[in-house]
Amino acid sequence: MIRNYLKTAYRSLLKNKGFTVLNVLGLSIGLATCLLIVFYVVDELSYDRYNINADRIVRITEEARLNGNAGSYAGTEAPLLNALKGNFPEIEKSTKLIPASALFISPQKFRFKKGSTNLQEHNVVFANSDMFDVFTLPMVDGSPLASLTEPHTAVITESTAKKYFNKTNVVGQTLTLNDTSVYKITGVIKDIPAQSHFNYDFFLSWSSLPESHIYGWGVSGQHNYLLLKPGANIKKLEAEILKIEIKHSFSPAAWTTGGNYLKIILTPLLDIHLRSDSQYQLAKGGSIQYVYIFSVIGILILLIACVNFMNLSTARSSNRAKEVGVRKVLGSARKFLVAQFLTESILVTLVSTIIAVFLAWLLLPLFNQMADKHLAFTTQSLSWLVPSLIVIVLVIGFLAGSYPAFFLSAFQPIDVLKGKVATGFKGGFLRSFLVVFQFSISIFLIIGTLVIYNQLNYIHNKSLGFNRSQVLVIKNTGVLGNQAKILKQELKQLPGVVSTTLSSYTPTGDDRNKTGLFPDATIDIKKDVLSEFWPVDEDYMGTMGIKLVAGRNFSAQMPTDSMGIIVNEAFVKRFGAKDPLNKDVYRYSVGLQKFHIIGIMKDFNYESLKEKISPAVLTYALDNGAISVRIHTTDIGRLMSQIQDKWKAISPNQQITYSFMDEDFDATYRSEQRIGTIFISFTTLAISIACLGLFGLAAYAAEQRKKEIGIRKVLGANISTIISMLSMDFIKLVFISILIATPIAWYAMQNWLQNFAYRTSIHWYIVALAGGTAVVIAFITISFQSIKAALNNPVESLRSE
Amino acid sequence: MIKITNLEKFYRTEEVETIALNKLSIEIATGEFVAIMGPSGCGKSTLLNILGMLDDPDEGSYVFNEIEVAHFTERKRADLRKHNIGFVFQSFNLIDELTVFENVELPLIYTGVPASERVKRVEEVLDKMQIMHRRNHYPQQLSGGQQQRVAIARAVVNKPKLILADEPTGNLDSTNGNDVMELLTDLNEQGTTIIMVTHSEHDARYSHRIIRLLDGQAVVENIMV
Ligand SMILES: Nc1ncnc2c1ncn2[C@@H]1O[C@H](COP(=O)(O)OP(=O)(O)O)[C@@H](O)[C@H]1O
Ligand SMILES: [Mg+2]
Repeated sequence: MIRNYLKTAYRSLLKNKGFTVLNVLGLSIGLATCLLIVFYVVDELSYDRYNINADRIVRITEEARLNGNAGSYAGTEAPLLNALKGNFPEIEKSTKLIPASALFISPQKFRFKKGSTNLQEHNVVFANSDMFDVFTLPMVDGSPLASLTEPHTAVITESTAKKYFNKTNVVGQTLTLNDTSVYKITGVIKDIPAQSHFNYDFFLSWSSLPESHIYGWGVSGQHNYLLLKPGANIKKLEAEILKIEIKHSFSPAAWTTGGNYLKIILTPLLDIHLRSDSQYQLAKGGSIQYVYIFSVIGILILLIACVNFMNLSTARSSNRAKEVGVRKVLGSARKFLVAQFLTESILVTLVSTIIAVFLAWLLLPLFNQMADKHLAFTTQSLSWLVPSLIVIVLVIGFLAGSYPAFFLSAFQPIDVLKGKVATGFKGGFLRSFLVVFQFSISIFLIIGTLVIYNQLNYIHNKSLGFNRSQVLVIKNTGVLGNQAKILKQELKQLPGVVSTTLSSYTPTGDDRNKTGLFPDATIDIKKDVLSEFWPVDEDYMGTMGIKLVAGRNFSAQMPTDSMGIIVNEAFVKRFGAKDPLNKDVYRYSVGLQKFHIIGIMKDFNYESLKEKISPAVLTYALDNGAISVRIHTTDIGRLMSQIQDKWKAISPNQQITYSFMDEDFDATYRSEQRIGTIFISFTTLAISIACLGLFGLAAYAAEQRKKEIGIRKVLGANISTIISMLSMDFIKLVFISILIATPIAWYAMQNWLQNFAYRTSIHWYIVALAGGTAVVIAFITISFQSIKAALNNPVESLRSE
Repeated sequence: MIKITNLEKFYRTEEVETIALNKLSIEIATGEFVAIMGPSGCGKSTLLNILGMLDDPDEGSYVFNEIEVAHFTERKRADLRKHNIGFVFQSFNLIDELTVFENVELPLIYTGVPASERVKRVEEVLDKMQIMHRRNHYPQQLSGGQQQRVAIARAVVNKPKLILADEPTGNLDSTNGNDVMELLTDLNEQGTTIIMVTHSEHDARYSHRIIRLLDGQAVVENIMV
């Protein structure tokens, strides 16, 4: 019996080739897209799950608000873990990581010797052997207990071992850091899975840190993790830790006045990647918002594809009413007809699914590139993929086949044969509804894409208060030590170089340094103005193109300038003084320091445009971490090689690391750029699938109305009248979709734009453009069919009797 | 009004060539009522379609109102057709989704008659066909005889000079059939030229002249007295 169904299904599908191709194509594109999104979402949700105790690990996170500065911070104080030790039975184990960036010595760079050259490494962290008690980091060589206990010991990953030694059993070997200190390797761990909120290659023992780099209370730079006992009361523990924090803070009373607060949050390990937006995290996290957005898009695209399938099946089923009638007259029971139709649609779904898997596999590299992921088909992914695909095949096959199966098979054969149901095409409310549904989604996606690109464009063209074009940043001049200054002078002499400045703090860079500044020597925490505090030279403002509003720039001729500062307008606003020029500012760092405001500069954007500009202060001090070079030349290649030559003359063994400032700027928005690309791809896919469906529907409509068209032509209708008549039925639906999709898209994208402190608005022409695009695409799609139908010789269509 | 000379029409389907009309020459004067008869497949409908400018002849000449139309473009033919010719079919060919009124109104829409004028003219012709009380019904709700009345109403609403009827009584019983023939006779008496294909000798007797076709050629002409 089954064989018979399959045979009949196969023949029927073959007979309606066009229909079958449209269905399979639409469904497989939809399924493939959906599969890619599932891969992405599963990957995002799997972060840190490699830890056996993942659900019991928490990070101590601090949320604070002080004098208008509110934020959440991933780092907490160094002495905190010791204060907790032994006092809380619900804490089973604890561990800490301190990334180089938190060491507050500017800029901390790690160069390991390999052969005769030094390699600059970024993924370096200080840790203790208790790290292995909390995180699941299996060792391939060495033992966790004997690792990272002694000063100057290190644990490295397998691939790092291969990179430096070409083998993995390297316990006992040594690594030379910055040409000065030697680290003994005590363990080699398996590479950390990509789905981890930290990903380090070098773990250096905590005890190697010089005493001066271990901070006390009041400085938070250490990442503290706890492994809790099962069933631990997290709320209670948070409150207890807060008490300890407040007790040891600078001024415990300050936290309860004037809207200030301090909170301790135990962030679950599994929330860190997607749900924590704390500052100073160990790696840039993902966003649960995007996981939701993509899940929704995936579901929508799959729905569009299913709707297509259903729509085409029902459209075709009215053509098949006669077949049903004949079969029934010949004595076929209803259940056989139901089985026949379902077999057909499940067969189509099955074929589409197989093609979809293949398509997804083909597209995966492209998608990886787009989404900056390393997704792959693995045996592990197949283990959940195959069963879910089988479910999908059955569900979609059943849904799409159910209308013809149950609805048509219920007809009385005599009605069907008399043609009473065959005219049911135009009245298809369900069909219109489904088309509106598809196009609403498509229009929503078009509007989304346009808004994203508009915002990216806005960011790109926004005046930032500094000039990022034609600035080269050499990022590793720290390795030159005092000779960095010489390099700066020599580069300045080159033709094509306008000016040079020495400082690792650039508006587009990563180095940042927040400090508290006070209007008087009492260091009253209530008057704190938290500011960026950047050591620069007298050429900084000129090279960056930052404008002076009042006062003057630093000058090498003024010896007192070492205590002078230039503040931005945001600082002035926060500082409160009427005429801040020449006022004094105090800072409590290594003792009390007094600064003098000599200039006020225009605000410039040094953070992502998602943030409002906050106070920033330039101080006249030496920082040789980077040299920025403003150039003006038509032959960049030649200038670059001259710059390299100058570098080589000073340091023949080191590689120069540089980039252009506008590239650095664009890199800040890479994730938005990525979202834009992904959105545009999904939009294109959604529209293509919807159009495939529309194409099929238009074909059926034209087929069904063939006779009517013939009659109209005989009565004098001309071709354009017929085309517009056939098209209008569908275009009407697209217009309804525009009405439905626009407010929803407007609302959603308005929400997205709220992420940016500096943003465009959603202009009316975006909506008009989106609607226009949808109408035009739909019209072209339908035209193929309606023109064909309109050109048909009416004699042909009326001849049938 | 109509003069065809050596008209030929072939149909080629996968190497089989059918000669539907074979060097056919006929002349029909204004105001005539002509019946065309002949066995099934002899080319009656083909001839009617060409006369109605729905189809092109392959060879020969067709002069309509002193104009040679044999090789007119589709657009020109359509233009000439919608102002001069009305069609009545055996299977009525009403549009199911439109009411009686709307069906009859269609030719007026396509010739660009303004809306107010259309209502007047549709009502006038529905009255004449005694189908006014059904103006808001759909074709499926009418009997065959009533449907053919609507179809005739639609054919004459534009006041065409020529009506082409392809077996107009073929789907009707004799009472309804006779009604239709009376209507056509009335129209003819008011000056409309009528060419009608029929299988019924009884119906053919309403005409002035019978042209008998065989294999695409006119074999006999009977003049009715
Ligand atoms: N579109 C067509 N394609 C092929 N052959 C056709 C076509 N239309 C008519 N014929 C053939 O032309 C001949 C005349 O047909 P027709 O004019 O419909 O005959 P009648 O109306 O007298 O029964 C027949 O043999 C018919 O099979
Ligand atoms: Mg015929």
